[in-house]
Amino acid sequence: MDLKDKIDPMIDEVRHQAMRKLEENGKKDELKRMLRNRLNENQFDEKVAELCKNYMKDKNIETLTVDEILRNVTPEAHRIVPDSVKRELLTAIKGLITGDQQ
Amino acid sequence: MIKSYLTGNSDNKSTDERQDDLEDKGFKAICDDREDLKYGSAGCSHVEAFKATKHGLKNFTLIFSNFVVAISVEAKKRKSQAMICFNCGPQKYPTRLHACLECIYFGCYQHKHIHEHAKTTKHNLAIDITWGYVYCYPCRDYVYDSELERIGKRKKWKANKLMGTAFAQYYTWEPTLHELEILKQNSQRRRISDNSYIGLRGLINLGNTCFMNCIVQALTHTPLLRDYFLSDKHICQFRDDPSMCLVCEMSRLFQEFYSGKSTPHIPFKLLHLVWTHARHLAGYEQQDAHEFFIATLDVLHRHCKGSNGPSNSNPHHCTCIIDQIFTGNLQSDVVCQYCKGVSTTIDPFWDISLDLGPSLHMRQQLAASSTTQTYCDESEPKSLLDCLERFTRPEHLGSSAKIKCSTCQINQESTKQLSMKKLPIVASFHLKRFEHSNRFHKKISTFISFPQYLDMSPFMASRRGCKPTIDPPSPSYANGSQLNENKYCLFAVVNHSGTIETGHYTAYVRQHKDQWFKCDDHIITRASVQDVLDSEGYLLFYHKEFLEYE
Repeated sequence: MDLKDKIDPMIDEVRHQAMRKLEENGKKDELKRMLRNRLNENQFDEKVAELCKNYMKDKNIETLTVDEILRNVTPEAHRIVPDSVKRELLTAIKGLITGDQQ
Repeated sequence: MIKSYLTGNSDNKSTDERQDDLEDKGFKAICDDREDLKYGSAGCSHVEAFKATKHGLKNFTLIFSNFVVAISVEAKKRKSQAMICFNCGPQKYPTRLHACLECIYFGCYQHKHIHEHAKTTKHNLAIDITWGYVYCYPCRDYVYDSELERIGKRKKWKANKLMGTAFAQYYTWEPTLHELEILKQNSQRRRISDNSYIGLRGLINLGNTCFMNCIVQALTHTPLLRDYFLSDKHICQFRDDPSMCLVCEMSRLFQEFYSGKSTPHIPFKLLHLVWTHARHLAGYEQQDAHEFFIATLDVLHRHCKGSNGPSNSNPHHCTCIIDQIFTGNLQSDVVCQYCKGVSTTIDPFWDISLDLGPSLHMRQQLAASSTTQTYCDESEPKSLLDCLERFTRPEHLGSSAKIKCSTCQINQESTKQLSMKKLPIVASFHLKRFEHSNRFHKKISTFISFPQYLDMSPFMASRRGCKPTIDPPSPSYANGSQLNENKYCLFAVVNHSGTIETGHYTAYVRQHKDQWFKCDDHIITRASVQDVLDSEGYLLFYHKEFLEYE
């Protein structure tokens, strides 16, 4: 069972609303852009590309799927996202959501 | 004619096409759209079949521009409401939502709802709403198709333009056909190791030209300037005689520095150009490095004009590489002591000249209390921060320098305060070690400490008045200001040894991340950060640590 399914449906609803709002006012794109830039500054792209390359090295390229790579690389990729980037994104989202309510 | 006027159809179409053409032009300027490069054209037979159908490309384009990138305000609204997996229902926020390319259906990938849809309806292709990649159900994988990719790229670019962020986007470099050819011809790749001397080169002294050499060293080690020249961005404006262009010469100089040669370079062409374009520096006398620095920036700035020079929207705002890197804005607030009215002016600057030694105010106080015990509320600056603090302190203009107040309409005593309105990417500080007054000329050799990392926040116009220690403003992303944006890192220091009449210039430069080197004309030696920080310091060059994507 996925962790997401365990989350209270109420929280999911709030999350959905928040995401919808951010999507509508274009802030989500802004956040995405900021995140992308921060990750680039930390050479995240290159590191993940390296992880993928390593994984693919001794696999059969013909039968290998994106799903399979995703499954195997994602945990490590999550791990190498710098904490500072996570924190910054969290603060930014918080700011946008609470700012909306005022 | 009349028919088309009545229906308006054909007219609309042509404007649409024209719009598309315009779009294409801008798009090409940004990320080199290469039709000629047909690698891995079609993803799979299913995509080929899909593209061959009448609605295929139309559906793809429609879905891409409305749901993947949302190119208009309405599209954004529609997208936000459509972010629902048809199977999970509106209560659940879907993870990895995909849209069917054949019919109106949205399903999540996480619970395989999009797969189920494909299986039951035989609709093979779906598009990932978040990223725009096409998933092929029979192939069980995402597929790459250059035509779809191209449409997607263009729509993305259009959406970014709409948001006013077309240039803020990070584009990965993809070599053009021409570049691929060059890469093939030059198969040797240089790997830069820690002990590589690439980017370092001594400069022969052509007769008291150390003032030039040290500035050249500082400029060639300015990270952003290096990136500009090594990526070959300069377009020369001297069509009839390119040899007269100082920017081209700088470009050649960077090539020399990064050529891997270890013999010193002889910058005679540069010197000649400087003599031609800045006549006051011509001749074999000793010159002031600071004066040379400003003159060089000025000539470079003038030679950049036209290409990526003054923008069309604002003729006073220059976007040439020199202004992009070195120009900041200084705010000057003059407060009338009578009515407290503030008049603000904003001026551009390339560097900040900082006074050393006792201020005029101090001298007056000292002179007045020469017999009694001296009490002074300020002391001589001992560090760069002291200097900056003094630079941005309110200064009483005194009764002899009354300024006409715009509110009072008469001359009033006032105070003046400077602060940073906009910080440049490279902040250059000039410590005024050479004192020229009508009575004497002398060099001030006091030790002024300067940090390796500098935070300019306390000197900003926006922060003025608030103490940096109490209640630091929370990092707010919403208005685009980050705590990091005012942080700087030292990358070059120019030093002067000797007296005011005669002396020698050397420079410390940072290269390969955090290694330091001392450049004494043609001799380059390794140095430690401590050597740099212990040096006297005449010109200090700081680079912004975090760059915003403009």
